[in-house]
Amino acid sequence: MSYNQRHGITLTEIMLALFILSAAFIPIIAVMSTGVRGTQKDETILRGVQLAQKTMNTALQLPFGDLVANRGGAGAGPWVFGAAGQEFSYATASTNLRLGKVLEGTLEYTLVLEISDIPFNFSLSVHNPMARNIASTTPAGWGWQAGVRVPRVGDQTGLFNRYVLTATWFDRGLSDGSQKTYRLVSYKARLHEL
Amino acid sequence: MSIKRRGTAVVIALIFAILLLQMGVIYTSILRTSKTQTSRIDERSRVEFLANGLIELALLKFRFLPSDFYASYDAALSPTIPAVNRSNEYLRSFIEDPVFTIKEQVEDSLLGNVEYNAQISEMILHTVATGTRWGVQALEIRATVAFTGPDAENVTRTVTKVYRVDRSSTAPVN
Repeated sequence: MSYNQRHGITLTEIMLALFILSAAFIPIIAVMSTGVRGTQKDETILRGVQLAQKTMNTALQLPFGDLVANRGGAGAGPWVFGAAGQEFSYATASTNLRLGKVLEGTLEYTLVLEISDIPFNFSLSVHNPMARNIASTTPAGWGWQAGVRVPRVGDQTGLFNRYVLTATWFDRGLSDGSQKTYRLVSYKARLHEL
Repeated sequence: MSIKRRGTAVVIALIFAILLLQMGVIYTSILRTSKTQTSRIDERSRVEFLANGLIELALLKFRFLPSDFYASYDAALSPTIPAVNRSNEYLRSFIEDPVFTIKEQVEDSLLGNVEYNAQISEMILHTVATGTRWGVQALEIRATVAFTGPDAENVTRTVTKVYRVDRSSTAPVN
């Protein structure tokens, strides 16, 4: 064995190699930790989103009249459920609606539902039913007024409502971290109450 | 021999470093994709909540004005009317009601500020041969929601709901 053959890898090389590997590891560890933090944040968001969707679905299933009656009276609206210091809970045999502060896992979410009335008026082109009976196979003779829209049922109130559910939470606990807000909007016609 | 071996550790370390960096890049892209998928799932449910509400309003109009709907539908598609005499104009006038267009501006921490434009796009009556006998039909209502997504792309989604309707009473049965 010669002297040179016993010197395959020198200490300097090993040190240099370790330095290169360490330098490569630093950004990877940084990316990993960012990923873990991001996943934890996503989890709190997904929990909030799922809770908001579940709550909105429950609210939409319940008759509007029952909700308002359980809140303590009708009034002209908008009706706010679960605002600060006004917890709201209403349960039937199949559903349970809770608004206000709700604990989900280790996080506390605040759910506020606002319902407002949306007045509307249906319009369409009129036709003459008598003319329709006579000219049964020629719709052009049914007395349509093309391009003319007329209101048909008058201004309607109390039949179509806008539901806005707002979920707020802190992403690191009860009051720690930044405050997040998630908002879900839907509408409900009072079909079952007509 | 010794000259050939000199620098081997550095080369191996460099190869490892490149591989690790590649892993890092792949991991970052996976994270970005999963975040996009999470917001897509959320988008879909927001659109459905909005569209379902608008579809209920269309159903309400059908319940208020069933004879007008059937007249306009017959004028457009009735098999008893010769094809040359049919006109779609009156059915469109029933569907394209100004109240069937909703603009909703939603602002929160998840998607930022997004404007959703929802409207009723179709109301289709399905009649099956056996159903006609009993006056039972299906009313299909479609709502289209358009908005600008998080990557500034224009997104359009269509939500469809089908209701069973009893023509003898004109009232939909849920």
